[in-house]
Amino acid sequence: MTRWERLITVVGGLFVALAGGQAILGVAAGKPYIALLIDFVLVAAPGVVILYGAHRLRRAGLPAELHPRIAGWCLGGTGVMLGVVVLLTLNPTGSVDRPLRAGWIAAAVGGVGGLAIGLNEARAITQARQAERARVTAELAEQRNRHLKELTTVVSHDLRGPLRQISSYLTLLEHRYQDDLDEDAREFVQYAVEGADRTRRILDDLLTLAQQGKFVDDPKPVPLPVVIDGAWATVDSPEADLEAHVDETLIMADSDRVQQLLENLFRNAVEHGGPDVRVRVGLLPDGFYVGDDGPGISAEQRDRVFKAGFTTADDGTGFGLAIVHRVAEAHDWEVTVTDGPSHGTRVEISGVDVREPDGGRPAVVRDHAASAPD
Amino acid sequence: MSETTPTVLLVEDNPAERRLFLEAANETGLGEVVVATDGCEALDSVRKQGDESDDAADLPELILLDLGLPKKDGHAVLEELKSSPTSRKRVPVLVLSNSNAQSDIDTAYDLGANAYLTKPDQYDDFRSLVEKIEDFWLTEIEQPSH
Repeated sequence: MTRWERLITVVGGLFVALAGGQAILGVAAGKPYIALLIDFVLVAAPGVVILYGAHRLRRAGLPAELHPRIAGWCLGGTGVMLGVVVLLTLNPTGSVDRPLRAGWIAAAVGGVGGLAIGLNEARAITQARQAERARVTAELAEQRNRHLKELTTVVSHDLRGPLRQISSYLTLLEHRYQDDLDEDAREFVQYAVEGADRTRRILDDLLTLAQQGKFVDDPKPVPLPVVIDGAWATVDSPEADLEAHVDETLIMADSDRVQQLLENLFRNAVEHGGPDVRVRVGLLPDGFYVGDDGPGISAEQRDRVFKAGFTTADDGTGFGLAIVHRVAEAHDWEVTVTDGPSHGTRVEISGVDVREPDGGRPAVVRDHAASAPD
Repeated sequence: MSETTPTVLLVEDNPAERRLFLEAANETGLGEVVVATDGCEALDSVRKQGDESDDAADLPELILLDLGLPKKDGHAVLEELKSSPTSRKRVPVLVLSNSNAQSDIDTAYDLGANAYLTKPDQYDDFRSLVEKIEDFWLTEIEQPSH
């Protein structure tokens, strides 16, 4: 308990003790019980409220440095009301019946009023500080994101040139001196070119990942079939098959980023399910899912798949699902990995604001889509 | 258009990138490639050809300009070329850069670049780009007078 809490407790206790003392003296003086009871309640009740206020002070989560202000308001309220009664008593044209009694009652009520003002003011100050802290934290996070993005962009662009040179000159070497290279040398060149290409893909994904951090604060209605088609067009696997059961559904999102999310899910399906993978997109009550008929993701790996750098594919970059997670986070969506109804992987995106094609109405569950097998 | 072999001015500071371009140009038969290794050298080269000798026919048919250049960067070179009161400003300038940052692209077009190309990652794609540049910018289009 701070000394200011103790002070407020003393003030409250004083009024309760005073009320009790007055009542005892009144009984001794033979005053009517009803008058004594009313006087007791008028002084003791504010005292009890002040005691309760002091008790609640710490539990209300108000910082200790605001306690002096609250105590000041409480004492100030007492003093002001006491002063009012004194002035009224001294006023020669008016009169106050039993000024001492009126003074105690006014002081007690003033103390409660002051305490209430002090508590409200302290709450307002605390809320304003919390809001300011949240703003600064958000600003810092935004600044960190911006710096990370800048850094990644610079690093990515600066490394792209040398990587281009490595793979281009190796390609030239292979083209020009093919006849002079034995089988081993050709294999070495091939591995070196593949290494450079993979490094470049990692850089691209890293850059994409860094660009997804910004929160989507101005989502627009995005036709889900359009972004699905756009994302599927980037999948370089002619034997893979896509089934989309999403009607003309709109989702509130950033179009480019949701397409990025779908591209990564589709590529992930091809990477793990093979070139002839069958991919299915369907609706959930509050989102959508992308499923495939690949080998699935084991329960132990599900917690790790969204971490940057995690991959089980030989030529994967490990950033694909991390980008998915980052895009979902930026939209305030949830991503979960489950098994498909029969087999394969199903990635569910929920918490999405799904709209009907007419724009306004919330989506209804489509039984065929939500329960269809992958 | 000049009736002699078209001349391309390549402004590129990185020797490996220069050589790569020259290899691709050689394989595709791009024409005569003159090289400048920094922004000032590029401007001097065009100035000499366009103004001082008063032999406008010596101006290159095409300028391929990198952005990250020593002494004077690509944007500054572009600005000076395109705001020139002489016929130098008519020479098509293609920016050929590693950067695909939108701000770089927009600035280049604002300063009068005729096209902005990002260097492809694979040699075969790069070679194919050089071929396309030759087909379109040196063959297909009508050349301005100098």
